[in-house]
Amino acid sequence: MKKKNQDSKYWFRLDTSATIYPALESTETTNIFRIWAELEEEIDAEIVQKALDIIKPRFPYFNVYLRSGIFWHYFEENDNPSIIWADTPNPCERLYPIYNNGFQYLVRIYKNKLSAEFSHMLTDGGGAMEFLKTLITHYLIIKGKLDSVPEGIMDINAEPNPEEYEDAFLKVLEIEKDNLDNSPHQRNLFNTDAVFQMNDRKLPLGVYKIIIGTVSLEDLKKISKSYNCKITELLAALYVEALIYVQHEQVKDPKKYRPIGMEIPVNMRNLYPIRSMRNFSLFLVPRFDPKEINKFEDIITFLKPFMIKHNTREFLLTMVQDNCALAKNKVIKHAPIPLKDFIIRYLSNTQGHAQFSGAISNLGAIRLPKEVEEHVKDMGVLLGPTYHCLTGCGVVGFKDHIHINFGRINKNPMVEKHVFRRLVEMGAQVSIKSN
Amino acid sequence: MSYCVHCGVKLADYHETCPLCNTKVLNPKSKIDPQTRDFPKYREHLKSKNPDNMKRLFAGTIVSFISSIYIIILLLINYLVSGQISWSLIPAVSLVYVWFGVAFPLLRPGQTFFRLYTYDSFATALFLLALNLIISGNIAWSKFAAPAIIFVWIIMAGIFISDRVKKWIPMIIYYILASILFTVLYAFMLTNNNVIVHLILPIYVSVLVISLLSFFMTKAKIFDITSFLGIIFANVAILAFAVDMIVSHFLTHSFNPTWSIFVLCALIPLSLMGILLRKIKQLRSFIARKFHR
Repeated sequence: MKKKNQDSKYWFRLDTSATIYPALESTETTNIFRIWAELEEEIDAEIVQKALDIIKPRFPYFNVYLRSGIFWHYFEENDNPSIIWADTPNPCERLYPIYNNGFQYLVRIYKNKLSAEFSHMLTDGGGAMEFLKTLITHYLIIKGKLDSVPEGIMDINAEPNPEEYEDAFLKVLEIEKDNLDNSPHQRNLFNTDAVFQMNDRKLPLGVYKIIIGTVSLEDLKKISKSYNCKITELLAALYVEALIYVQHEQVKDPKKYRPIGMEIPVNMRNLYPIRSMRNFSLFLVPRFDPKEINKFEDIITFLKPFMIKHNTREFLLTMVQDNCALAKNKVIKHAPIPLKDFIIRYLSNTQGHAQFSGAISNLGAIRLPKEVEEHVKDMGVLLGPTYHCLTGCGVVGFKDHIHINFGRINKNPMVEKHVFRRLVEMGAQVSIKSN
Repeated sequence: MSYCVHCGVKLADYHETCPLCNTKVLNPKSKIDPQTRDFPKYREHLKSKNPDNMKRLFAGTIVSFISSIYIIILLLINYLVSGQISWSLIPAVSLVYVWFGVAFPLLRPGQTFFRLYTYDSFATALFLLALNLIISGNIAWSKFAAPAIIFVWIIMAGIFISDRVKKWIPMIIYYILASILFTVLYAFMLTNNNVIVHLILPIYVSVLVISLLSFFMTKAKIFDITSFLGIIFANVAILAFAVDMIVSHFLTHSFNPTWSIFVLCALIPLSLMGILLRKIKQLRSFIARKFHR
């Protein structure tokens, strides 16, 4: 974070993967995701406000305005007070910073649920989860339920470590400078082989329907063991199967079947020892040819080796290298923002998002210190709406169960229906709730 | 907790239908409890003071301060120049009205839209009465204007309440009672009751009937959104015809439609087109796509 002089405000660049988000923001693709915690007791808004005021200085990289320069967007210090919001019927709705004192994140409360909605420009699920954990802990301390900050929660008195706000992707390049492949790795930007995307009537603009499915961890473990795969792979496979069924229903001519592209984010924090609080995840996109898939096991057989092969430092490094090379390209670097935004929007619509049929993001099991966990009933994550995929899925494990949370902007819950019915068929007990 | 008989999934207590397949939940042992919802049905506002309110309060105070200074100066100038307070009352009352519209919402943040609208409606009615009283010394034209504003407020209140209550019969009774009350009020205020009985009341009743008919036809989903315009055009045509008949009967004591025939000729084909639109599938899906329906 840079400062012109002692009195001026600090500013910093958007990280490599966040640079595209300002251009893509719309009511249908909000770039917002939500994480929430359900406490045992009803939440007091004033105490949340106090807790937020206390922890805010520890996260200077979240307390920022998004500003537009000539060539790039950048973040600038925002010293306005934060606002606590009541919940809304449609989660992850578009965030207008002008109504939120300029912030790109907001905290919402409803009954005993405390939610934090973050713009992907600021951080990803990993960073947001740390923020929420710290907020809950300090809320409980003010409420008198906890005496001190337990281990595993960020120390708010400590100075922010530069590692937390520096661009983690550039750091990866630094770490791996001896292993960098100098051959050009530019991704094929003009890939015309589009994937299948669901076609359905859309809900009115701004409406986002979510279905929260809860399955016991034991049931899911049993099922994934029977298929000899991981839980993420099992759920992604079910998602792919659902999309194949939808394609069969919607496309009458088998010759017109398109491949299914599934976006599976990978948390880079698991591969590199960098404690970044900003975006530090990439995504893998396995492509399934529906003509080659006859049964559910075929999807698993394809997906399992794919994940083993691609979820490695070597493969992801080439992706990091490509992304950073694009950002460093002299022509791209010196193009003015309106032109850059226009090109990003065009490429995203035709190439980027057009390569995904669906998205499934697994944040893994959330671990809280025992003292805090006693007071937390449940935790969850929800992906924001996307114009192209229509439906997205966020998965998170807490205590002895797993939440499979779907959000959609189309009318019919085609994917959700298939996934949950299949899980019931496989022997899992699924309970669902919706907004 | 109930299960969906189609999907086999457990459903939360507040679901009347399965969110996956829309099958109705039938469980005599477990009652549907909307209070246990995990998400609010409507956008909510916190009652606690937001720090953001500080700026609003500051702005509200500044506006109030400047308005009061202006009012005092105006009254003083008027008094010093002519020895009495006369013309300065008009800008003073206007400033108070503007203060109510601008500074009051800033000083009392967190108000719902309907509450603000209520305050503004009553403030406007009072403002008109005060203005009339200052200018002409008595309440003349404003006794019609002020109740008209209140009547519009009553209609709007009905719309807001109906959205929450969702019981149509009490709402219809509410509208009819309000209409009768206002018609009687106007009848008392007007000296010539003949106009009320033979002109205003019939026109009023026909407007009311047609509006309610349009509202319920669209609400009951007899027609979908694509033929919505068709219904509106048809109802406007019927209304125009009815008004023409009432006016002609009032003036000539005979039913001779004149101008409404042209309106009918223009609107009926449009209305038919709108209603038939739903038959043309391609066009319908195109419109539906455009409106995200």
